[in-house]
Amino acid sequence: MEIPYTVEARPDTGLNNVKLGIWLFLASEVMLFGGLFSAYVLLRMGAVDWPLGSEFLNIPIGTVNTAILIGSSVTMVMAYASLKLGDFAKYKGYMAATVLLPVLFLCIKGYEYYEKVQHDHLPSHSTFLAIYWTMTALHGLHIIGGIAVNGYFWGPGSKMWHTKPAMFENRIEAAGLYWHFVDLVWIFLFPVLYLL
Amino acid sequence: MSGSAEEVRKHIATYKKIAAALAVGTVVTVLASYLDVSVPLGITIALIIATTKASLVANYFMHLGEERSAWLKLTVGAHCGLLVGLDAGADFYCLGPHRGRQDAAERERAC
Amino acid sequence: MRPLPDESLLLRQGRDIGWSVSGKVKKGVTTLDNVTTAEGIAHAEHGHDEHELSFLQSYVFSLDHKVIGIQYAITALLFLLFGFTLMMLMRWNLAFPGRPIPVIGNFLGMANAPGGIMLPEFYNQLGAMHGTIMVFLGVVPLAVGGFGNYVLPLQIGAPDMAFPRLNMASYWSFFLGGVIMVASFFVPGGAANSGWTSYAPLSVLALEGQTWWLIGMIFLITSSLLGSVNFIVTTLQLRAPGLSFMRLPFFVWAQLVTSFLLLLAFPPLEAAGVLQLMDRVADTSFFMPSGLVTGDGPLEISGGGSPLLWQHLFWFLAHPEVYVLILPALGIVGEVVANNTRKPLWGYRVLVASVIFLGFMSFIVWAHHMFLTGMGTTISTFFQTTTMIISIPSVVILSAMFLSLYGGSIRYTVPMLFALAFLPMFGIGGLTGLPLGLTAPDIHLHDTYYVIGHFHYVVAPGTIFALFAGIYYWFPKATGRLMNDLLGRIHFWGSIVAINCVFMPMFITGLAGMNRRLYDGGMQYAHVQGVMEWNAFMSYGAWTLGFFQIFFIFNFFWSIRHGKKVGDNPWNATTLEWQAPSPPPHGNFTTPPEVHRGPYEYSVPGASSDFSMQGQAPEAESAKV
Repeated sequence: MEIPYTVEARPDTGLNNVKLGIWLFLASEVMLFGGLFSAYVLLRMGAVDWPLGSEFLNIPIGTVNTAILIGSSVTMVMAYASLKLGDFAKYKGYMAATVLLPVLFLCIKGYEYYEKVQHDHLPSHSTFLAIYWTMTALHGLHIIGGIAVNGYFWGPGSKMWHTKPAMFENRIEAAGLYWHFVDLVWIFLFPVLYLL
Repeated sequence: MSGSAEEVRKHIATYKKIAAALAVGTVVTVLASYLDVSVPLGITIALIIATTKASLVANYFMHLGEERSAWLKLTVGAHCGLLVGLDAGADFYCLGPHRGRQDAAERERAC
Repeated sequence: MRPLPDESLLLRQGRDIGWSVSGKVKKGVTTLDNVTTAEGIAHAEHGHDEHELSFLQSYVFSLDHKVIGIQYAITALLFLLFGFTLMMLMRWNLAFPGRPIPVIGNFLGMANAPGGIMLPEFYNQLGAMHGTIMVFLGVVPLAVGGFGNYVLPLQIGAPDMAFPRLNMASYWSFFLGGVIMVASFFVPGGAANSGWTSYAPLSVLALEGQTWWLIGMIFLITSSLLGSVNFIVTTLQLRAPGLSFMRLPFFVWAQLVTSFLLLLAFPPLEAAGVLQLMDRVADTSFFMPSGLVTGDGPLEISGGGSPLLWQHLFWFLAHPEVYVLILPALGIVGEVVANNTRKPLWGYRVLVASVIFLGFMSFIVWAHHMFLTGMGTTISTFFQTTTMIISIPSVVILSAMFLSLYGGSIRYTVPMLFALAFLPMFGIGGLTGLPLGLTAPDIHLHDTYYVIGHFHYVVAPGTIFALFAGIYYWFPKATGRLMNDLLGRIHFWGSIVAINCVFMPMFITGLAGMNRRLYDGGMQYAHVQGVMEWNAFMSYGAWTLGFFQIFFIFNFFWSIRHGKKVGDNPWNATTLEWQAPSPPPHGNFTTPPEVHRGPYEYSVPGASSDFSMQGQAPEAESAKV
């Protein structure tokens, strides 16, 4: 039994199954983070006073982390382009960077968390810190998921390139879409939490 | 993203430009936050920059601009609309019926 | 799939697969050889590695949409029974408050029912878990997971779902969520007891069971996310050649819209669940306002949260969820009605448009559950208006179904009886909802038994009857045998009478002002004394309803082995699933289906028979008969 359109696009929808599937998943992810952002808006609007992010958070560190995440998004798209050019060695290199950069991101995030705990700035301290911890932690979980998936496609999963290159390209494209989305969430999270 | 090596190279050139634009955008957001403006204006500026960056990522890195599928555009468009509507609704919900009342406690009760 | 060299062999063995699939339900043993042989053939034919599937791979961790659909259906039916049992226990206390429950009362434990007399705390647990189990573990998994999985790929002529592994993960995530929910009865303090809506701050202050509820919900949400992505991709991508959107059976349309609702409405509840989990575990104050005082004095929290925020996020899911409950049911009824009136569904295009419009609108009506929260009259007016608007497509759909009956030569088969009962029952449920959607009458009716009566008419004699119709209708496809007709009729007539005895009096007690959450039925309240006697009446109704389900349960299992054997298309239906062998083999169709016509070509003038199957080529028409 062969399921149709796993690799090639269906003519009338213009998509293959994987790409449509990942986009639908992202649509639901947008609703998840959208729900949290809406909660943020409602809580902030209802609050008597709301601290500026910079009172609790370290802007330079946040900026560095933003740059790191954008960087990993760039290496991800370069990895995909390298596959398109048939350059597997380059793909491996870019993918390695795509895996390592978010690890660095998490280390820095871990340091930030550590600092908060040291100052007793726990989620129970205020609603601002509560939403900061919740949203960054949920985003962090998405990062961990991305590292796992990309790590798999860098390591054992990349064997597929030699047997089913077209399918492997699709997988990298789907993984890339997810990864860019995680980056995209941070692009909003950073100014909302740190700067406003 | 389609086919030939030539096109892919063109894409790579674009990616580099977008990467630079995103870097600039990040710096600008941070700098803008130090501007001495009112909170609503600050929020507006930050969100405009973030939205611009996000659409660059979606358009070029996620290749949404080149996607032929009307289905995909419809899905993405429809629920972005839904989301913006919801957040606008949330704003309106807190501010709309109580606009003009400056009493924060009043607003807190409503929300 | 290409045609097989020996088609009859596969057909025969395909039947054997289905036999053993259903056989395991009853006996827990299977005739494995047939399965592996047939699968072996199918695989060898397509050049895959020939491998034998173990018992676990075939029946427990199966990737086949039909097995997963049956797993979903059986699990969901068990949860429905469990949820109904909880309600039968509650009805005892409502009918005879303070009297020990006979027999069963001794097994409920000292913490819940000392001396067999139910404690109020335990009643609250039963109430919260009844709602949760019926909605999230019973009806939705049966309607979407069960029927969607089994029927949808067959109706669109697909060999399987687009992502079989995700499909399996979806079922197991659901199963795990269900286990967590049931297990929560055994943690200290028992299961969640803040109602199925889990309103904060009550739920944040509740005992440990609430945490389990939240974790269980996260698994259920994951399950429905995986399922809905799969359904949408399958429907859009795997349609057979010639099956354009306007040729899709109405059931497929209903499932497609349902999947979009699940996909987009559930994540905000997941967000809310995470926030409530943080409130409970990390002592945050997302839903906790400042200055909250309990019996133990002021709470040591940072405050500043909003209890209303929970309600917004919850109902943003839970209102589309209502349509998730009802749309697949409408789809099933559409199929059964068209088939048994032997004429096309009336206004197919209007039906499709209505379903899509209903889907969109269901996202912007949620706050009509919150008129009494003090959120402001402007907002209430907005949601009152959208609520009135959303009733229009519902009425259009129901009217189209009624009009479909007009002039038909109706066959009163058991599925048709359930479908026919669905129409007025859903009508009562829908129309009694209108006063609740208007802000003024809602002030009186909110949180009374009227509300309970209203939504149970939609869900119980509405959706669940439609699901029964679906079970009787597609049972021959899954097993190759009909369910017993006499038992089916006893089940139907007993249920329809009993269920109305349960829910109709609720409108009376509700209008009298009886509150929906009182564990003694409102004994202390003077204003409901005049209607108190209805409580016992409704309870007898509920137990009678339970009694008549025994006929269904027996019929279901007995017919798997002993039902009347029938061919591939016992109902003379037109849609693609009846073109596959009964039960369909792995890969579903013996020849790849191709679609030549719309879904409901019954009694076409000039045609040689009173039904033209979708896969039947036009030129073959004259050759037929």
